[in-house]
Amino acid sequence: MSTVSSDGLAISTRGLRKTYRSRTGRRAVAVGGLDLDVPVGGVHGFLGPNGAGKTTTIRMLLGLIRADSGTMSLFGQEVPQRLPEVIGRVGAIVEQPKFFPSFSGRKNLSMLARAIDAPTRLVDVVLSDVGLLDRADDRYKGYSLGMKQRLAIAATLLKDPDLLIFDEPTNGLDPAGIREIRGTMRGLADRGKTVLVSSHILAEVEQVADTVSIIARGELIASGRVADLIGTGAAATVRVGVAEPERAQQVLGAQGWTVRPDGRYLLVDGGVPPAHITQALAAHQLFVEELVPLRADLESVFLELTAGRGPGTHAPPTGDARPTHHAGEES
Amino acid sequence: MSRLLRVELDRFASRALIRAGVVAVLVICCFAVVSAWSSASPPSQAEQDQARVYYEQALTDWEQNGEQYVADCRAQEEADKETADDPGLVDYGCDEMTAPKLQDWIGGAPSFGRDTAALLTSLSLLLVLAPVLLAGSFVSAEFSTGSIANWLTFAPRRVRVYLSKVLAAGLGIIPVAAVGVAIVLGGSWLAYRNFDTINAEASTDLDSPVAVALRLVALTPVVAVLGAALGFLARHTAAVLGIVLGWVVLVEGILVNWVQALRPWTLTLNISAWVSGSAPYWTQECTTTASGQSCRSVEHVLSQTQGAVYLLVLTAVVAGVALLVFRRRDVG
Repeated sequence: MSTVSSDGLAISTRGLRKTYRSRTGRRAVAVGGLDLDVPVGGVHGFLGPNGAGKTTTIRMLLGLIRADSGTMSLFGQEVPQRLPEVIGRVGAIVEQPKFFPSFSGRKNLSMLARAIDAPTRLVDVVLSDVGLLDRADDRYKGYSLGMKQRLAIAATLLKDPDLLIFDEPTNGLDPAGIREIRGTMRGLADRGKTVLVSSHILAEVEQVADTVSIIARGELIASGRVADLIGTGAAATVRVGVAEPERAQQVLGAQGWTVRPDGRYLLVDGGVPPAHITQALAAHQLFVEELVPLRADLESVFLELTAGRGPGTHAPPTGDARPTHHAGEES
Repeated sequence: MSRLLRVELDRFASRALIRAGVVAVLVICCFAVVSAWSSASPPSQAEQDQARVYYEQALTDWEQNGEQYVADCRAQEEADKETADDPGLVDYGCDEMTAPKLQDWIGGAPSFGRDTAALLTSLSLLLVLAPVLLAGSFVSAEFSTGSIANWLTFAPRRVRVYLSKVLAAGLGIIPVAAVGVAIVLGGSWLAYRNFDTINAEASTDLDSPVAVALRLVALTPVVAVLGAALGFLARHTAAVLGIVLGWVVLVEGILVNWVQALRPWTLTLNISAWVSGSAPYWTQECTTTASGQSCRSVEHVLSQTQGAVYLLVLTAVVAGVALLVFRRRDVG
């Protein structure tokens, strides 16, 4: 029977900091005072551009690298001090799965099972769960990337963990593999597990995550429920298709709305209700051919929030970066 | 801890590279038996006849010129002593110039005890290098493949992880060494028994081949632990190999020739002292004479005890440093 931390958090970090020294002696901040909370249950997306500090954070949580300062806890247990007591509740795949290449999948899992004193019959159960039973005796180095990912998931399941950490789980996978991993994550969450998935591929996280945290340059810049976060992002835009776009732009502009041409379309910014646009155009004998509300998605929120915040960000730096905000706090 | 040790022993026995290394060691041991077969056979009649011809030629020369050779030697020695900074260092060994003996050409009679002990001693390099490299690769492969990170998410207590791997390397190598040494010992005994030369010459207890074999087997887990510790430090098999070869070439091959005081502290000499019971080494003492510089070699003996203590302390220090580093180092 698993226990839940008193604060209802699977993961919590406060002021977590890690710097690396380069060969030239310069210190580079990988994680700079990160405050991260991952609630128990559901899928939590851990988002950030490449180099934002996601993998470093996960490695620190798992005791693989040492934090310079700050505190971390897993299910309320301080780590790394009490990691041995809590590690049995945590299954993790950090970046690419890494097993002994000349051993079979079954041999690799068997050794891990024996290391944690899990019954060896469980090996075939988890191999079956991930659909690898028929390839279990093949050498790991002969596995495809998708099979390696599935074997890594099987390894995490040996512990029957309460928290699963997947670091960039779909890297290098084909669309079918991505869909499979997504389904696995959702399935685990539906069984009551907590899943932390770190990724820079937002579409995949948006489809599966219940909550997200967005970091850039090792700092938290937003967190909360996906729906709330999208709601605080860029206001919706409506794309309008009309026979006389120049006259239509004048008509809509006269209403005080921000209108800009986009090819043969007009884009109306500012969250103007589509019905108002239709009404305004019809009043001038202009009839819409197409009217599409462009919903803000996680990607646009992400791009907006991470603009100019370090390597891998996808938007140019701006002078007035948005203040850090948390969707949960604002809603 | 014992659970992790069992898993590591299983992994040690299952690694393809280690299996290949074990096969290579055993094949070399089989070649050593072939060498023992050759040593066990007494010289043929034709070889004995040829040796006798050479001996008689040398004897004739000695009978005709021997006294003159000795006189010339003593004269040169006396002359150089008069002009030497330190006359005590001038010794040309004139007293050792004696008439040739037939044994010098035919060689000693085959002796199982003496020859097999020497054969086993000559295998000590193999039985040191192989455990170091196999144990080094056993550990470093985990770092180079990255599987150590995965392993630590299952077994996060690093001291236990370290000890299980190092002990597994040390224990896992013992059967390999035991079988290899048994092949040489048993094969050699059969060869000498076949030629009926087993009891040709008595050997002391310390030099007996069984004692040498046991010391060799006892040495292998120590050097395997050393190799495993190097694996933790270097994190790559090639780096472990580089450290070992670099040490042998730079320190034991070059530096020691410059700094004679380092000779008793070389790894190879201490290994030899442990395996053989003692190990002689020589230093040069030189003096300037009228005919130039005159040097003589002074023999020293390194005891078996020093060899054992040296190897244990070296291994303990390297293993301790590796543990400290592994406990603190970030695992990528």
